[in-house]
Amino acid sequence: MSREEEVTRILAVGLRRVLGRLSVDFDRLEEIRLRVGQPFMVVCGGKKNFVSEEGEFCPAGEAHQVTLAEIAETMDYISSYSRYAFEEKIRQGFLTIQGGHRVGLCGRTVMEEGRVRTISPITFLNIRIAREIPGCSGRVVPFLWERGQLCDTLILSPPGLGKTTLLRDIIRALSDGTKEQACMVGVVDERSELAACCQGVPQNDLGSRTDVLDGCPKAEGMMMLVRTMAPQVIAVDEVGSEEDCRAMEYVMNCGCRLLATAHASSLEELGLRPVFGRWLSERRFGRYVLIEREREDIFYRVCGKDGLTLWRGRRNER
Amino acid sequence: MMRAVGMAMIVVACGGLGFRQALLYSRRIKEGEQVARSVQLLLSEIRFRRLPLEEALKRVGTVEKSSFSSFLGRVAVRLSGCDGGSFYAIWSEELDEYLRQSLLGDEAELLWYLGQELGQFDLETQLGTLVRFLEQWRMRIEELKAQEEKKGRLYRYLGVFAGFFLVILLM
Repeated sequence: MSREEEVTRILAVGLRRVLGRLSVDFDRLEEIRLRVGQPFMVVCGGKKNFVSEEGEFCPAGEAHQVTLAEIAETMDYISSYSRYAFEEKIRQGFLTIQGGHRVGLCGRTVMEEGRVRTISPITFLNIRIAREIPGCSGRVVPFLWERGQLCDTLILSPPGLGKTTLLRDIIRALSDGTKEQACMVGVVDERSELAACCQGVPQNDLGSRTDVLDGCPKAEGMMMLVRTMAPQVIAVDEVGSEEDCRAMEYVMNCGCRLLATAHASSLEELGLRPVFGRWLSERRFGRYVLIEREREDIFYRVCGKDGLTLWRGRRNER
Repeated sequence: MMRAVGMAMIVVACGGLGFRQALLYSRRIKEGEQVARSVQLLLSEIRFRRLPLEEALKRVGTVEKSSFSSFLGRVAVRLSGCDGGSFYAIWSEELDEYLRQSLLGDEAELLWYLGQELGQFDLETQLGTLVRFLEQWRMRIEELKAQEEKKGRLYRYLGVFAGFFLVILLM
């Protein structure tokens, strides 16, 4: 199934028709946003566009208005008519569909004992289209090594710039690396975005020396991997909670190298967060990779443990 | 001589009809048991593997070999098509088709109710729906079984005696 099919098949029939008429190449789409009673929106190259019934970009007033029925139908397809099977994910506000595309959910939250029990009705959806860009890490990976040792690395960017895409390609590069540099990689894929597992089988290529723990909470997963799979490198996406940080500390202190991503647009911003601020001053990470957008281009910046830039270059779209 | 053969044939034919009716009754019970087995499997797939309906129905359709499990398999295929329509609409269309060739009687109404509730709400409600269906379904099957011996015998006797009655009338 192509990426276009993976995404369009989960849309309500009416929305599918509108998207099918879209004059823009599907590969350029980054997000599809559905908001009840609001215009149908797609994000291309960082730009937000409203789409008319004819599939043309247009002002908000002329765009196709998304209905509650269309969102409900889309949710039926996303959840295979089985919300019960995705209770925990809905509680967390997202679902991952076949192909690793993430669907963010909003609406009315139902609380129980001070915790979110579910979201019902769901009235806002953000479908983020996952992209595999094989080789995008090609010029980054050599900078992640120092004296023959892989450095603990943190990938940073604001949402939507491709942290997961870059992490996935680094994992693949390390796992399939040359004889001297190939690593056993353990991946904790809590949101099923890295490997896009279907019934435990990865749909994305993560390399031949990679083990994937799919759908497992990151902190618990990191400990499980260390104890059971003897990885040389552990990779996790979007860390941030205190629990995650404790598990990361454990991993870094037990001989494994860590690859992780986090939300931040600069090292200064990262330093404002309690644990990361301490780690920055203690120089716990050997490398930081920052992802930056300049107009429509994406740039990677590799920094050393002291925060100084070692290399900066445009993302390799090969 | 020919007359005697004709009379014997009438008795045999009517008796055969009675036996056939009794056989259909026991086949209906067998089909009911197959439904219970498939729904039990569906319940296990959802309880232990947390599978969404499409995959759970597909698995039951593959593992079990019966007309009911084939019906579940067809529902799974329709769900995977994402071609519009609610779960109940798809379930109803396929159930209609299935019941046209099925031997199930009044108990089939439970299957319509099941379709209305599948896929709704949370896991707890979902499992509760399936457990409740199974309880009610098994109760109906037990009732059918209790009646089987009585009704089976009745159909068989009725067939044979109707044959004799016809013969007497014709004489």
